Amino acid sequence: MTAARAEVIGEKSPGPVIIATDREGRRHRVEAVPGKSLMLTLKYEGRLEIEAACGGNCECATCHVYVDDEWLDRLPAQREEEMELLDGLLYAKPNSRLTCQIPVEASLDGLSLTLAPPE
Amino acid sequence: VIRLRRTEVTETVAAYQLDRSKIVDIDLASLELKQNFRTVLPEWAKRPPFYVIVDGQPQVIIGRYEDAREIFLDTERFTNVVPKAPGFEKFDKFMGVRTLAQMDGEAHSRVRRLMTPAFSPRSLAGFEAQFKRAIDVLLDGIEADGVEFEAMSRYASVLIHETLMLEMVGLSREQKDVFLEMHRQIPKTTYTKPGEPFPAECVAAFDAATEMIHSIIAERRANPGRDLVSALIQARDEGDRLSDKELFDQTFTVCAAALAGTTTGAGATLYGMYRHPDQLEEVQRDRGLVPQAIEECLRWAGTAGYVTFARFAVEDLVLGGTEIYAGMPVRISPQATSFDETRFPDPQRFDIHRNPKEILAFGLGAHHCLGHRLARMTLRIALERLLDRYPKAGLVEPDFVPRYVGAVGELRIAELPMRLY
Repeated sequence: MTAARAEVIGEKSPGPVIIATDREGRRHRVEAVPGKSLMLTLKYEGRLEIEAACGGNCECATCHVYVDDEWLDRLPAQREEEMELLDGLLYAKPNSRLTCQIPVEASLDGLSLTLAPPE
Repeated sequence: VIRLRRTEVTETVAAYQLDRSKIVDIDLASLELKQNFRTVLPEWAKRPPFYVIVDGQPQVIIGRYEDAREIFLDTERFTNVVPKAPGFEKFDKFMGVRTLAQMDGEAHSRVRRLMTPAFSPRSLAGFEAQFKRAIDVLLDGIEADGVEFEAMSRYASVLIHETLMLEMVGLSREQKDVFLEMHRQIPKTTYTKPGEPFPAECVAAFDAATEMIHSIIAERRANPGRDLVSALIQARDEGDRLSDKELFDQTFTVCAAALAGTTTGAGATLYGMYRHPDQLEEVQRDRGLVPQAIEECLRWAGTAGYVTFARFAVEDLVLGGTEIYAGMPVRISPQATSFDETRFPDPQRFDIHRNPKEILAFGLGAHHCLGHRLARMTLRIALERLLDRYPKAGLVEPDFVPRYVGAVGELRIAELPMRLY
Protein backbone atom coordinates (compact mmCIF):
# COMPACT_ATOMS: atom_id res chain seq x y z
CA MET A 1 0.00 0.00 0.00
CA THR A 2 2.70 2.42 1.03
CA ALA A 3 4.71 1.88 -2.15
CA ALA A 4 1.69 2.34 -4.42
CA ARG A 5 0.72 5.51 -2.59
CA ALA A 6 4.27 6.88 -2.93
CA GLU A 7 4.16 6.28 -6.69
CA VAL A 8 0.95 8.26 -7.04
CA ILE A 9 2.40 11.13 -5.05
CA GLY A 10 5.52 10.94 -7.22
CA GLU A 11 3.46 11.30 -10.38
CA LYS A 12 1.75 14.39 -9.05
CA SER A 13 4.99 16.12 -8.13
CA PRO A 14 7.66 15.01 -10.59
CA GLY A 15 11.30 15.34 -9.51
CA PRO A 16 13.93 17.48 -11.14
CA VAL A 17 14.67 16.79 -14.80
CA ILE A 18 18.24 16.27 -16.01
CA ILE A 19 19.14 16.80 -19.67
CA ALA A 20 21.89 14.33 -20.59
CA THR A 21 23.65 14.10 -23.96
CA ASP A 22 25.00 10.63 -24.69
CA ARG A 23 28.21 9.75 -26.57
CA GLU A 24 26.39 9.66 -29.89
CA GLY A 25 25.11 13.21 -29.32
CA ARG A 26 21.51 12.20 -28.52
CA ARG A 27 19.77 14.23 -25.84
CA HIS A 28 17.84 12.45 -23.08
CA ARG A 29 15.36 13.89 -20.61
CA VAL A 30 15.88 12.02 -17.33
CA GLU A 31 13.37 12.36 -14.50
CA ALA A 32 15.43 12.25 -11.34
CA VAL A 33 14.59 11.18 -7.81
CA PRO A 34 15.92 13.50 -5.09
CA GLY A 35 18.23 11.74 -2.65
CA LYS A 36 19.79 9.37 -5.19
CA SER A 37 23.16 10.11 -6.70
CA LEU A 38 23.32 11.60 -10.17
CA MET A 39 25.27 8.49 -11.25
CA LEU A 40 22.44 6.13 -10.21
CA THR A 41 19.90 8.47 -11.78
CA LEU A 42 21.62 8.54 -15.18
CA LYS A 43 22.37 4.81 -15.12
CA TYR A 44 19.01 3.46 -13.97
CA GLU A 45 16.39 6.18 -14.52
CA GLY A 46 18.05 7.36 -17.74
CA ARG A 47 19.38 3.94 -18.85
CA LEU A 48 22.49 5.71 -20.07
CA GLU A 49 25.78 3.94 -20.57
CA ILE A 50 27.54 4.75 -17.33
CA GLU A 51 29.78 1.92 -16.17
CA ALA A 52 30.21 3.01 -12.53
CA ALA A 53 32.57 0.10 -11.95
CA CYS A 54 33.23 0.94 -8.30
CA GLY A 55 29.54 1.29 -7.51
CA GLY A 56 29.71 4.90 -6.35
CA ASN A 57 32.76 4.74 -4.09
CA CYS A 58 34.71 7.49 -5.87
CA GLU A 59 37.40 5.04 -6.93
CA CYS A 60 37.11 4.39 -10.67
CA ALA A 61 36.15 7.60 -12.53
CA THR A 62 33.89 5.66 -14.92
CA CYS A 63 30.89 7.93 -14.19
CA HIS A 64 32.65 10.97 -15.67
CA VAL A 65 30.56 13.72 -17.33
CA TYR A 66 31.03 17.27 -18.59
CA VAL A 67 28.61 19.67 -16.94
CA ASP A 68 27.32 22.71 -18.83
CA ASP A 69 29.34 25.70 -17.61
CA GLU A 70 26.38 27.60 -16.21
CA TRP A 71 25.77 24.72 -13.78
CA LEU A 72 29.31 24.34 -12.45
CA ASP A 73 28.92 26.73 -9.52
CA ARG A 74 25.53 25.36 -8.57
CA LEU A 75 26.82 21.86 -7.84
CA PRO A 76 28.30 20.72 -4.52
CA ALA A 77 32.05 21.40 -4.31
CA GLN A 78 34.48 18.63 -5.27
CA ARG A 79 36.11 16.65 -2.49
CA GLU A 80 39.82 15.88 -2.79
CA GLU A 81 39.18 12.26 -3.79
CA GLU A 82 37.20 13.41 -6.81
CA MET A 83 39.86 15.96 -7.82
CA GLU A 84 42.59 13.30 -7.61
CA LEU A 85 40.64 10.90 -9.83
CA LEU A 86 39.85 13.58 -12.42
CA ASP A 87 43.50 14.55 -12.38
CA GLY A 88 44.38 11.01 -13.52
CA LEU A 89 42.09 11.11 -16.58
CA LEU A 90 43.23 11.93 -20.10
CA TYR A 91 39.93 13.51 -21.15
CA ALA A 92 39.18 15.62 -18.08
CA LYS A 93 38.18 19.26 -18.70
CA PRO A 94 37.56 22.18 -16.36
CA ASN A 95 33.84 21.26 -16.34
CA SER A 96 34.40 17.57 -15.53
CA ARG A 97 32.56 15.96 -12.64
CA LEU A 98 32.10 12.43 -11.30
CA THR A 99 28.36 11.88 -11.05
CA CYS A 100 28.60 9.50 -8.08
CA GLN A 101 29.65 12.52 -6.02
CA ILE A 102 26.57 14.62 -6.80
CA PRO A 103 23.33 13.93 -4.92
CA VAL A 104 20.19 14.85 -6.84
CA GLU A 105 18.26 17.74 -5.34
CA ALA A 106 15.25 19.70 -6.52
CA SER A 107 17.57 22.61 -7.30
CA LEU A 108 19.22 20.57 -10.07
CA ASP A 109 16.09 20.78 -12.24
CA GLY A 110 17.29 21.52 -15.79
CA LEU A 111 20.91 20.46 -15.18
CA SER A 112 22.50 19.81 -18.55
CA LEU A 113 25.50 17.51 -19.03
CA THR A 114 27.33 15.32 -21.56
CA LEU A 115 28.76 11.84 -20.97
CA ALA A 116 32.57 11.79 -21.25
CA PRO A 117 34.26 9.13 -23.38
CA PRO A 118 35.20 5.95 -21.50
CA GLU A 119 38.90 5.62 -20.65
CA VAL B 1 32.08 -33.68 -12.36
CA ILE B 2 30.00 -34.65 -9.37
CA ARG B 3 31.76 -36.56 -6.67
CA LEU B 4 29.44 -37.96 -4.02
CA ARG B 5 30.49 -37.61 -0.42
CA ARG B 6 27.25 -38.46 1.31
CA THR B 7 28.48 -38.82 4.88
CA GLU B 8 30.08 -35.40 4.92
CA VAL B 9 27.01 -33.76 3.42
CA THR B 10 24.66 -35.39 5.93
CA GLU B 11 26.75 -34.20 8.90
CA THR B 12 26.99 -30.65 7.57
CA VAL B 13 23.28 -30.39 6.83
CA ALA B 14 22.54 -31.41 10.42
CA ALA B 15 25.08 -28.98 11.90
CA TYR B 16 23.98 -25.95 9.86
CA GLN B 17 20.30 -26.88 9.33
CA LEU B 18 20.64 -26.26 5.60
CA ASP B 19 17.89 -26.67 3.04
CA ARG B 20 19.07 -29.94 1.52
CA SER B 21 17.46 -29.18 -1.84
CA LYS B 22 19.88 -26.28 -2.26
CA ILE B 23 23.04 -28.36 -1.86
CA VAL B 24 24.99 -29.25 -4.96
CA ASP B 25 27.45 -32.03 -4.30
CA ILE B 26 30.41 -30.81 -6.25
CA ASP B 27 34.12 -30.66 -5.50
CA LEU B 28 35.33 -27.11 -6.16
CA ALA B 29 38.94 -28.32 -6.33
CA SER B 30 38.31 -30.95 -8.99
CA LEU B 31 40.08 -30.75 -12.33
CA GLU B 32 36.96 -32.20 -13.96
CA LEU B 33 35.05 -29.07 -12.98
CA LYS B 34 37.73 -26.86 -14.57
CA GLN B 35 37.76 -28.91 -17.72
CA ASN B 36 33.98 -28.95 -18.08
CA PHE B 37 33.23 -25.35 -17.15
CA ARG B 38 31.43 -24.73 -20.44
CA THR B 39 28.77 -27.28 -19.56
CA VAL B 40 28.63 -26.77 -15.77
CA LEU B 41 28.66 -22.97 -15.41
CA PRO B 42 25.72 -22.14 -17.73
CA GLU B 43 23.67 -24.27 -15.36
CA TRP B 44 25.01 -22.33 -12.32
CA ALA B 45 23.99 -19.12 -14.12
CA LYS B 46 20.34 -20.22 -13.95
CA ARG B 47 20.36 -21.53 -10.39
CA PRO B 48 19.56 -19.46 -7.27
CA PRO B 49 22.51 -19.26 -4.84
CA PHE B 50 23.37 -22.80 -3.75
CA TYR B 51 25.52 -24.51 -1.16
CA VAL B 52 28.58 -26.65 -1.65
CA ILE B 53 30.24 -28.45 1.22
CA VAL B 54 33.99 -27.88 1.45
CA ASP B 55 35.92 -29.64 4.22
CA GLY B 56 32.69 -30.04 6.18
CA GLN B 57 31.80 -26.32 5.92
CA PRO B 58 29.07 -24.94 3.70
CA GLN B 59 29.96 -22.24 1.15
CA VAL B 60 27.47 -20.38 -1.01
CA ILE B 61 28.04 -20.26 -4.77
CA ILE B 62 26.62 -17.38 -6.80
CA GLY B 63 26.16 -17.99 -10.51
CA ARG B 64 23.45 -15.51 -11.56
CA TYR B 65 24.54 -12.07 -12.74
CA GLU B 66 22.08 -10.05 -10.67
CA ASP B 67 22.82 -11.95 -7.44
CA ALA B 68 26.55 -11.39 -7.99
CA ARG B 69 25.97 -7.72 -8.66
CA GLU B 70 24.00 -7.36 -5.45
CA ILE B 71 26.78 -8.94 -3.38
CA PHE B 72 29.59 -6.99 -5.03
CA LEU B 73 27.78 -3.72 -4.27
CA ASP B 74 26.62 -4.58 -0.74
CA THR B 75 29.49 -3.78 1.59
CA GLU B 76 27.12 -3.60 4.56
CA ARG B 77 26.14 -7.26 4.53
CA PHE B 78 29.26 -8.80 2.98
CA THR B 79 32.89 -8.36 3.95
CA ASN B 80 36.15 -9.34 2.31
CA VAL B 81 37.88 -9.64 5.65
CA VAL B 82 38.57 -13.29 6.50
CA PRO B 83 37.09 -14.23 9.92
CA LYS B 84 39.76 -15.07 12.47
CA ALA B 85 38.23 -18.42 13.37
CA PRO B 86 39.29 -22.06 13.14
CA GLY B 87 38.63 -23.48 9.69
CA PHE B 88 39.05 -20.13 7.93
CA GLU B 89 42.86 -20.28 7.61
CA LYS B 90 42.55 -21.68 4.09
CA PHE B 91 41.02 -18.41 2.90
CA ASP B 92 44.23 -16.64 3.85
CA LYS B 93 45.70 -17.29 0.40
CA PHE B 94 48.87 -15.29 0.73
CA MET B 95 50.10 -16.45 4.10
CA GLY B 96 49.56 -13.33 6.18
CA VAL B 97 49.92 -10.62 3.54
CA ARG B 98 47.06 -8.17 3.88
CA THR B 99 46.08 -7.63 0.27
CA LEU B 100 43.84 -4.79 -0.78
CA ALA B 101 41.24 -7.43 -1.63
CA GLN B 102 41.10 -8.50 2.01
CA MET B 103 40.52 -5.05 3.49
CA ASP B 104 37.27 -3.20 3.93
CA GLY B 105 35.91 0.19 4.93
CA GLU B 106 38.22 3.05 5.86
CA ALA B 107 41.42 0.97 5.82
CA HIS B 108 40.67 -0.18 2.28
CA SER B 109 39.69 3.28 1.02
CA ARG B 110 42.84 4.85 2.40
CA VAL B 111 45.29 2.38 0.85
CA ARG B 112 43.37 2.21 -2.40
CA ARG B 113 43.35 5.97 -2.72
CA LEU B 114 47.12 6.11 -2.27
CA MET B 115 47.62 3.47 -4.97
CA THR B 116 45.08 4.75 -7.50
CA PRO B 117 47.13 7.47 -9.26
CA ALA B 118 49.76 4.94 -10.38
CA PHE B 119 47.04 3.03 -12.32
CA SER B 120 45.22 6.04 -13.77
CA PRO B 121 44.72 6.48 -17.54
CA ARG B 122 47.21 9.34 -17.49
CA SER B 123 49.90 7.33 -15.70
CA LEU B 124 49.38 4.29 -17.95
CA ALA B 125 49.45 6.36 -21.14
CA GLY B 126 53.02 7.28 -20.20
CA PHE B 127 53.97 3.60 -20.43
CA GLU B 128 52.37 2.80 -23.80
CA ALA B 129 55.55 3.10 -25.89
CA GLN B 130 57.62 1.19 -23.32
CA PHE B 131 55.07 -1.64 -23.19
CA LYS B 132 55.01 -1.88 -26.96
CA ARG B 133 58.80 -2.17 -27.11
CA ALA B 134 58.84 -4.76 -24.31
CA ILE B 135 56.19 -6.88 -26.07
CA ASP B 136 58.10 -6.62 -29.35
CA VAL B 137 61.16 -8.04 -27.61
CA LEU B 138 59.05 -11.05 -26.60
CA LEU B 139 57.87 -11.51 -30.18
CA ASP B 140 61.45 -11.20 -31.49
CA GLY B 141 62.43 -14.05 -29.17
CA ILE B 142 59.52 -16.20 -30.33
CA GLU B 143 60.28 -15.55 -34.00
CA ALA B 144 63.96 -16.39 -33.51
CA ASP B 145 62.95 -19.86 -32.30
CA GLY B 146 60.82 -20.83 -35.31
CA VAL B 147 57.34 -20.68 -36.74
CA GLU B 148 55.46 -22.59 -34.03
CA PHE B 149 55.34 -21.56 -30.38
CA GLU B 150 53.52 -22.46 -27.19
CA ALA B 151 51.61 -19.21 -26.62
CA MET B 152 50.87 -19.57 -22.89
CA SER B 153 54.47 -19.97 -21.75
CA ARG B 154 56.09 -17.81 -24.44
CA TYR B 155 53.54 -14.97 -24.56
CA ALA B 156 50.40 -14.97 -22.34
CA SER B 157 52.10 -15.73 -19.04
CA VAL B 158 55.11 -13.47 -19.62
CA LEU B 159 53.43 -10.33 -20.96
CA ILE B 160 52.97 -8.88 -17.53
CA HIS B 161 56.56 -9.72 -16.55
CA GLU B 162 57.76 -7.45 -19.28
CA THR B 163 55.21 -4.68 -18.88
CA LEU B 164 54.35 -4.43 -15.20
CA MET B 165 57.26 -6.11 -13.44
CA LEU B 166 60.19 -4.94 -15.52
CA GLU B 167 58.88 -1.66 -16.90
CA MET B 168 56.44 -0.40 -14.26
CA VAL B 169 57.79 -1.88 -11.02
CA GLY B 170 61.32 -1.72 -12.36
CA LEU B 171 62.53 -5.16 -11.22
CA SER B 172 65.76 -6.69 -12.49
CA ARG B 173 65.48 -10.01 -14.35
CA GLU B 174 66.80 -11.85 -11.23
CA GLN B 175 64.25 -10.14 -8.98
CA LYS B 176 61.52 -11.00 -11.43
CA ASP B 177 62.50 -14.67 -11.31
CA VAL B 178 62.11 -14.72 -7.53
CA PHE B 179 58.54 -13.47 -7.99
CA LEU B 180 57.83 -16.00 -10.69
CA GLU B 181 58.88 -18.83 -8.43
CA MET B 182 56.46 -17.59 -5.80
CA HIS B 183 53.77 -17.31 -8.45
CA ARG B 184 54.37 -20.95 -9.42
CA GLN B 185 53.99 -22.03 -5.79
CA ILE B 186 50.92 -19.99 -4.77
CA PRO B 187 48.27 -22.27 -6.40
CA LYS B 188 49.37 -25.10 -4.09
CA THR B 189 48.21 -23.14 -1.05
CA THR B 190 44.64 -23.22 -2.35
CA TYR B 191 44.69 -27.01 -2.24
CA THR B 192 46.03 -27.09 1.37
CA LYS B 193 43.49 -28.52 3.83
CA PRO B 194 42.61 -26.70 7.09
CA GLY B 195 45.09 -27.48 9.84
CA GLU B 196 47.72 -28.70 7.36
CA PRO B 197 50.87 -26.61 7.02
CA PHE B 198 51.52 -24.95 3.67
CA PRO B 199 54.00 -27.01 1.60
CA ALA B 200 57.66 -26.27 2.40
CA GLU B 201 58.45 -25.12 -1.15
CA CYS B 202 55.62 -22.56 -0.91
CA VAL B 203 56.99 -21.17 2.32
CA ALA B 204 60.53 -21.01 0.89
CA ALA B 205 59.37 -19.22 -2.28
CA PHE B 206 57.28 -16.81 -0.25
CA ASP B 207 60.20 -16.04 2.09
CA ALA B 208 62.48 -15.32 -0.85
CA ALA B 209 59.91 -12.93 -2.36
CA THR B 210 59.48 -11.25 1.02
CA GLU B 211 63.20 -10.63 1.37
CA MET B 212 63.39 -9.30 -2.17
CA ILE B 213 60.51 -6.84 -1.73
CA HIS B 214 62.07 -5.49 1.47
CA SER B 215 65.34 -4.87 -0.32
CA ILE B 216 63.57 -3.17 -3.24
CA ILE B 217 61.69 -0.85 -0.90
CA ALA B 218 64.93 0.09 0.88
CA GLU B 219 66.68 0.70 -2.42
CA ARG B 220 63.86 2.85 -3.90
CA ARG B 221 63.55 4.84 -0.70
CA ALA B 222 67.23 5.73 -1.00
CA ASN B 223 67.10 6.31 -4.77
CA PRO B 224 63.55 7.06 -5.91
CA GLY B 225 62.80 6.52 -9.59
CA ARG B 226 59.75 6.88 -11.84
CA ASP B 227 58.58 3.34 -11.06
CA LEU B 228 55.48 2.09 -9.25
CA VAL B 229 57.22 1.23 -5.95
CA SER B 230 58.80 4.70 -5.78
CA ALA B 231 55.38 6.20 -6.49
CA LEU B 232 53.86 4.17 -3.65
CA ILE B 233 56.68 5.19 -1.29
CA GLN B 234 56.06 8.83 -2.11
CA ALA B 235 52.25 8.56 -2.10
CA ARG B 236 50.87 10.99 0.42
CA ASP B 237 47.39 11.74 1.51
CA GLU B 238 47.40 14.85 3.66
CA GLY B 239 50.55 13.75 5.41
CA ASP B 240 49.37 10.15 5.44
CA ARG B 241 51.54 7.57 3.73
CA LEU B 242 51.89 3.82 3.37
CA SER B 243 53.77 2.12 6.19
CA ASP B 244 56.57 -0.33 5.38
CA LYS B 245 54.23 -3.26 6.02
CA GLU B 246 51.58 -1.73 3.75
CA LEU B 247 54.14 -1.01 1.05
CA PHE B 248 55.31 -4.58 1.21
CA ASP B 249 51.79 -6.02 1.20
CA GLN B 250 50.65 -3.92 -1.73
CA THR B 251 53.77 -4.42 -3.84
CA PHE B 252 53.24 -8.11 -3.30
CA THR B 253 49.53 -7.81 -4.12
CA VAL B 254 50.11 -5.92 -7.36
CA CYS B 255 52.66 -8.42 -8.64
CA ALA B 256 50.74 -11.51 -7.52
CA ALA B 257 47.35 -10.28 -8.76
CA ALA B 258 48.80 -9.14 -12.05
CA LEU B 259 50.63 -12.39 -12.68
CA ALA B 260 47.58 -14.55 -12.16
CA GLY B 261 45.00 -12.26 -13.73
CA THR B 262 46.82 -11.30 -16.88
CA THR B 263 47.97 -14.84 -17.61
CA THR B 264 44.40 -16.11 -17.68
CA GLY B 265 43.23 -12.94 -19.43
CA ALA B 266 45.86 -13.16 -22.14
CA GLY B 267 45.17 -16.87 -22.61
CA ALA B 268 41.47 -16.07 -22.94
CA THR B 269 42.18 -13.30 -25.45
CA LEU B 270 44.47 -15.39 -27.65
CA TYR B 271 42.23 -18.43 -27.56
CA GLY B 272 39.02 -16.41 -28.07
CA MET B 273 40.39 -14.53 -31.06
CA TYR B 274 42.40 -17.25 -32.80
CA ARG B 275 39.69 -19.86 -32.30
CA HIS B 276 37.41 -17.64 -34.43
CA PRO B 277 39.42 -16.76 -37.56
CA ASP B 278 36.49 -15.04 -39.34
CA GLN B 279 36.05 -12.58 -36.50
CA LEU B 280 39.81 -12.23 -36.14
CA GLU B 281 39.94 -11.14 -39.76
CA GLU B 282 37.33 -8.45 -39.12
CA VAL B 283 39.45 -7.16 -36.24
CA GLN B 284 42.52 -7.31 -38.47
CA ARG B 285 40.74 -5.06 -40.98
CA ASP B 286 39.15 -2.72 -38.43
CA ARG B 287 41.38 -2.11 -35.41
CA GLY B 288 38.66 -0.02 -33.82
CA LEU B 289 37.08 -3.37 -32.92
CA VAL B 290 40.03 -4.44 -30.73
CA PRO B 291 38.71 -3.18 -27.35
CA GLN B 292 35.27 -4.75 -27.74
CA ALA B 293 36.78 -7.96 -29.13
CA ILE B 294 38.94 -8.20 -26.00
CA GLU B 295 35.87 -7.65 -23.78
CA GLU B 296 34.14 -10.52 -25.57
CA CYS B 297 37.19 -12.75 -25.07
CA LEU B 298 37.24 -11.85 -21.37
CA ARG B 299 33.53 -12.67 -21.15
CA TRP B 300 33.61 -15.89 -23.11
CA ALA B 301 36.88 -17.58 -22.25
CA GLY B 302 37.07 -18.00 -18.49
CA THR B 303 39.19 -15.01 -17.49
CA ALA B 304 38.15 -14.50 -13.90
CA GLY B 305 37.59 -18.14 -13.14
CA TYR B 306 34.74 -20.28 -11.91
CA VAL B 307 34.88 -18.95 -8.34
CA THR B 308 36.53 -15.88 -6.81
CA PHE B 309 38.04 -15.30 -3.40
CA ALA B 310 35.43 -15.72 -0.70
CA ARG B 311 33.43 -12.90 0.75
CA PHE B 312 31.74 -13.48 4.09
CA ALA B 313 28.20 -12.69 5.19
CA VAL B 314 28.25 -10.39 8.23
CA GLU B 315 24.70 -11.26 9.25
CA ASP B 316 22.00 -13.85 8.57
CA LEU B 317 20.24 -12.93 5.34
CA VAL B 318 18.34 -14.26 2.35
CA LEU B 319 19.71 -13.65 -1.13
CA GLY B 320 18.01 -14.79 -4.32
CA GLY B 321 15.79 -17.01 -2.14
CA THR B 322 18.69 -18.75 -0.39
CA GLU B 323 19.46 -18.41 3.32
CA ILE B 324 23.00 -17.29 4.03
CA TYR B 325 24.17 -17.31 7.64
CA ALA B 326 26.61 -14.91 9.30
CA GLY B 327 30.22 -15.94 8.65
CA MET B 328 29.37 -18.12 5.65
CA PRO B 329 31.86 -17.89 2.80
CA VAL B 330 30.18 -16.66 -0.38
CA ARG B 331 31.93 -17.38 -3.68
CA ILE B 332 30.85 -15.50 -6.79
CA SER B 333 31.44 -17.30 -10.08
CA PRO B 334 32.43 -14.56 -12.56
CA GLN B 335 32.46 -16.99 -15.46
CA ALA B 336 28.96 -18.27 -14.61
CA THR B 337 27.68 -14.66 -14.60
CA SER B 338 29.19 -14.25 -18.08
CA PHE B 339 27.03 -17.20 -19.18
CA ASP B 340 23.84 -15.71 -17.68
CA GLU B 341 21.45 -15.50 -20.63
CA THR B 342 19.36 -12.83 -18.91
CA ARG B 343 22.36 -10.51 -19.24
CA PHE B 344 24.14 -11.90 -22.32
CA PRO B 345 21.66 -13.57 -24.71
CA ASP B 346 22.87 -16.82 -26.31
CA PRO B 347 25.83 -16.62 -23.91
CA GLN B 348 27.97 -19.45 -25.25
CA ARG B 349 28.18 -17.90 -28.70
CA PHE B 350 31.38 -15.89 -29.25
CA ASP B 351 30.54 -12.64 -31.00
CA ILE B 352 32.79 -9.59 -31.03
CA HIS B 353 29.82 -7.46 -32.13
CA ARG B 354 28.05 -8.24 -28.89
CA ASN B 355 30.21 -5.50 -27.33
CA PRO B 356 29.44 -6.78 -23.83
CA LYS B 357 29.10 -4.15 -21.13
CA GLU B 358 29.82 -4.52 -17.43
CA ILE B 359 31.25 -8.00 -17.47
CA LEU B 360 32.25 -9.04 -13.96
CA ALA B 361 35.71 -10.38 -14.85
CA PHE B 362 37.27 -7.50 -12.87
CA GLY B 363 34.61 -7.55 -10.17
CA LEU B 364 32.40 -4.59 -9.30
CA GLY B 365 32.04 -2.14 -6.44
CA ALA B 366 34.62 -0.99 -3.91
CA HIS B 367 36.91 -3.93 -4.75
CA HIS B 368 36.70 -3.57 -8.53
CA CYS B 369 40.16 -4.46 -9.84
CA LEU B 370 42.55 -1.56 -9.37
CA GLY B 371 44.63 -2.79 -12.31
CA HIS B 372 41.82 -3.29 -14.84
CA ARG B 373 43.11 -0.54 -17.12
CA LEU B 374 46.66 -1.89 -16.97
CA ALA B 375 45.36 -5.38 -17.78
CA ARG B 376 43.20 -4.20 -20.67
CA MET B 377 46.02 -2.05 -22.05
CA THR B 378 48.50 -4.93 -21.89
CA LEU B 379 46.05 -7.28 -23.63
CA ARG B 380 45.28 -4.66 -26.28
CA ILE B 381 48.94 -4.02 -27.11
CA ALA B 382 49.68 -7.75 -27.08
CA LEU B 383 46.91 -8.44 -29.60
CA GLU B 384 47.69 -5.40 -31.75
CA ARG B 385 51.38 -6.29 -32.03
CA LEU B 386 50.52 -9.84 -33.08
CA LEU B 387 48.05 -8.54 -35.67
CA ASP B 388 50.54 -5.94 -36.94
CA ARG B 389 53.57 -8.17 -37.19
CA TYR B 390 52.06 -11.59 -37.95
CA PRO B 391 48.78 -11.15 -39.84
CA LYS B 392 48.78 -14.85 -40.77
CA ALA B 393 49.27 -16.14 -37.20
CA GLY B 394 46.86 -18.83 -35.99
CA LEU B 395 46.32 -21.90 -33.84
CA VAL B 396 48.34 -24.94 -34.90
CA GLU B 397 45.12 -26.99 -34.74
CA PRO B 398 42.14 -24.81 -35.70
CA ASP B 399 39.72 -26.77 -33.48
CA PHE B 400 42.06 -26.93 -30.51
CA VAL B 401 40.38 -27.60 -27.14
CA PRO B 402 42.50 -26.31 -24.25
CA ARG B 403 43.20 -28.06 -20.98
CA TYR B 404 42.61 -25.84 -17.93
CA VAL B 405 44.89 -25.60 -14.89
CA GLY B 406 45.63 -23.15 -12.04
CA ALA B 407 44.57 -22.52 -8.45
CA VAL B 408 41.14 -23.54 -7.16
CA GLY B 409 38.70 -21.27 -8.97
CA GLU B 410 41.06 -20.30 -11.80
CA LEU B 411 40.57 -21.24 -15.45
CA ARG B 412 44.06 -20.90 -16.83
CA ILE B 413 44.77 -22.45 -20.22
CA ALA B 414 47.64 -24.93 -19.85
CA GLU B 415 49.03 -24.83 -23.38
CA LEU B 416 48.03 -23.04 -26.57
CA PRO B 417 50.07 -24.13 -29.57
CA MET B 418 50.22 -21.33 -32.14
CA ARG B 419 52.11 -20.50 -35.31
CA LEU B 420 53.35 -17.10 -36.46
CA TYR B 421 52.79 -17.67 -40.19
